[in-house]
Amino acid sequence: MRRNSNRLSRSQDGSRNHVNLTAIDDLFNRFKEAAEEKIEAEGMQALFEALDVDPLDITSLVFAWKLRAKTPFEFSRSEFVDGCVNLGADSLEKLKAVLPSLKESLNNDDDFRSFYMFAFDYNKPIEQRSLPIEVARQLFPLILGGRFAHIDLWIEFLEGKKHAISRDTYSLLLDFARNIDYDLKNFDEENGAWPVLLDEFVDFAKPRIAQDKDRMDE
Amino acid sequence: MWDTKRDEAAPTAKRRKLNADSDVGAKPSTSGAGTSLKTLPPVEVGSVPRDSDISIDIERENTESSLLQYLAELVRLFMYLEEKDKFFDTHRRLFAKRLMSHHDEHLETSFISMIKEQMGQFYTQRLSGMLQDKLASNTMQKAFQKYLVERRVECRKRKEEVLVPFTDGILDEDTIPPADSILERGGLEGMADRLLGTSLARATLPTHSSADTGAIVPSDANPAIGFSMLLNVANSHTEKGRAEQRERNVKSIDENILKFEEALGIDFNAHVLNALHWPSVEVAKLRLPPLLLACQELFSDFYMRDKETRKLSWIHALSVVNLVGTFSGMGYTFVVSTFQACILLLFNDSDRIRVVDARKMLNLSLEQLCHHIKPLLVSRKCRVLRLERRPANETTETFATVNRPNEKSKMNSTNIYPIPNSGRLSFAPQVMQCQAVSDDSGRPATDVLAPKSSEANTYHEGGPERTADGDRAQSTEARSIAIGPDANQGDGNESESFVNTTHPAPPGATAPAQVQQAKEGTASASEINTGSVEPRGESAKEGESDSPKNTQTERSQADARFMQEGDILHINLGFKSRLHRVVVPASIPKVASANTTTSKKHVVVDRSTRVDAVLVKIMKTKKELTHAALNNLVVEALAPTFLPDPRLIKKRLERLIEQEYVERDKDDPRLYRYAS
Repeated sequence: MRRNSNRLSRSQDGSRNHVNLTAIDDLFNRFKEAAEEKIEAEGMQALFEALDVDPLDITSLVFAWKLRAKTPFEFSRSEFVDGCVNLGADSLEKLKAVLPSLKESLNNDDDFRSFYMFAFDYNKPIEQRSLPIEVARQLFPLILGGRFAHIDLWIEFLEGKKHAISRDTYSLLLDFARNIDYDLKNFDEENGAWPVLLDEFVDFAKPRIAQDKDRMDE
Repeated sequence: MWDTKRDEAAPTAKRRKLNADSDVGAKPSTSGAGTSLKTLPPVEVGSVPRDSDISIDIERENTESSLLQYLAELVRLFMYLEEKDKFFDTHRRLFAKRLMSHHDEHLETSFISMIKEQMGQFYTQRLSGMLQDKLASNTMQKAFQKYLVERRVECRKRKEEVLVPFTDGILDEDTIPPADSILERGGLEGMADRLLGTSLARATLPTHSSADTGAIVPSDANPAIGFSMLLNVANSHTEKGRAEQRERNVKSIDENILKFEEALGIDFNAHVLNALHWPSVEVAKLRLPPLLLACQELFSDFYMRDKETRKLSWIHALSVVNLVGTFSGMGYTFVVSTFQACILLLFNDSDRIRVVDARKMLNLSLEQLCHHIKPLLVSRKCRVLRLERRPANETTETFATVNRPNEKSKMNSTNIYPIPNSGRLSFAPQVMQCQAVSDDSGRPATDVLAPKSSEANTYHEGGPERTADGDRAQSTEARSIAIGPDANQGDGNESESFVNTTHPAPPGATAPAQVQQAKEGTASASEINTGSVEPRGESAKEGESDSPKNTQTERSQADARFMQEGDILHINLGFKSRLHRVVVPASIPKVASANTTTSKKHVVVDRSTRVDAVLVKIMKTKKELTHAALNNLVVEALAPTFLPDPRLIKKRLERLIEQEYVERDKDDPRLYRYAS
């Protein structure tokens, strides 16, 4: 698979020695559920508030990615501690300071792919193989906004769909967003091996794009 | 790698070639191609109706050689079709129909071998399976008859233990007990009597067509004799004593035996169709009357012996029942579907039944009931039932008193009941759903009327599917005898002259009503599109006892609303027919339309599975393939059957990827790898 988990910790290795593990533990205890060794939805909301992060913003997802969280809206102790160690942050202030740089790391194509695929696993129900369409509709604008020229059309196109997005389709959508021209002219249905959903999207989008272009020309 | 390149260029060219071929094949007649084709209608790719045209044409042609020629043409055209699977699915249904009605074994075998020669086993497996089922059914029926004989003997023994046999057979009269006595005893018991009576009659008739039964059953062991003894017992008693003794005896007889005793008197046959081969048919949850149910159980018992795993479901839609009914002292054999038989049998217990009650008793939806009952209410030649709308201020009593007294003087009773073996009754539920489809044809026919009904057979040789044709034949026949060629003259004159010549003239007052009714009948018949619309004859005959009120009922019946839950159904006491054997059309069109939808679904599912199979097969052998190469190989493998849509291939491939049978190369998404 394309996800390269080693890459996650690459840049943070050097800072490992300088963090105070007890402080991180205290931080975790502050937000965790009383009965369980986890930060759950409520604690997470409090954490993001303390960090001045909108829980619906991409930053929260990036943070979860850095923590290598496995379950949506849940950080286990080990995930949190390891994540904070990797980020080199043992207090809320340090974490706050680190967050902008995390977002920047998405500019690296490989890191972004890793993040992109993480978003798939993180958001899909554990027992399913694919991403439910309702979730997908909310997720795509969040992570592909600014990276996919036709994101609005894509969301509009998904409105009419009922089937879940498979991992294969999801993954190839990123290639599609990166490699296909704005006017979709270099999309090769016959030999491109694109998933059928993308074929259908091109059928849907081409006339719309042509229309827009005509309007622009006028 | 070279073959990849070649493959990349190939698909479009190949497809073009196939298209061109199919075009040639598709319009043989428009291009005037060849004399051999001139009589064949044009066949379009995947065209369903054309296919049926061909087979109808074929069926009309009677000489075998020309039939074979047609079949050869059919097979040849078949080869050019792009979407063979669609065409084939339809054809399989027609093939099933052919087998169900009448078939020429030799012809079908040669047809199958022709297809096999040209197209390979894929198409012929199911066809030959169907044919074998059909051929095997003869053996099975013989075995079943044998089994029945055993059961009959057993049944007779049990009876003899209980009843003192009387030997003074009184066979001449009263094989059907008078109406009063039937009413008195009512229900099952009465029916048993009638059945026994008729089975006796059957035994005495030389005309009954059960050649196979005859061959198996030694004459002295003829089951009917057992029954005749019983019957004689009954007949030689006074009404009162008879009832008493019967009651006493019946109680003492093993219930199980009693249950089947009546059923054993019915000539019942079933075709078992293997669900693997036969096209699927919708199975309705019809609640059968106990008698017919017993017949079914008899067969199920027989079929399930030692084979617990078998599963039978009965296909009532393909079954035929012959019922005998007496109207105005005349007995008629009605050839009806199981649904219609069940509806009619309800009237043995009560004269008037609310639609909603009938519906509940039969476990049918209003729509289904309407569908099956329509011919009985509307069709000219078989209007056995009448529908009475339930207007707010019209009492049903008045209606009853208007009709009843007249009728009673004329006839003993109106009773409809299945009658054991003589000519033609086939009461044939079919089982299809799981392992078997069975087609039971019990063939009771009339006692007194049996010879006549077998004469009538000549028109209606066909099975259930052919009723429409048979019906037409019947109506034509009726016209030429009764009306003559002037069938298109004014309704009024015609019906009057008809009535005057053939039947006692109706009371003058009712004449206008008749005319009205005849017209009315025309309207309703054309509405249901029976094809054989003759605004004459029967409706006038029926009209004899009709009051103008009744006519109004009829008129509203012609409305699209047709029938409502609160309406009342009753027997049309004035029913008359020129033919003793009345074939009631089983309204088929609806079923047919349902079939095409299901058949389309079938094809879609079938195709998906085939694409899956081919994909896995190819990936397994090649291990690694580019998208284009894989596509080509799949198209090539499937071309003999159909040209798969590239998107269908992709979709199935995506499924395989999702299920981790196949994976994409990490760096090149256009390269697939088989994940072992």
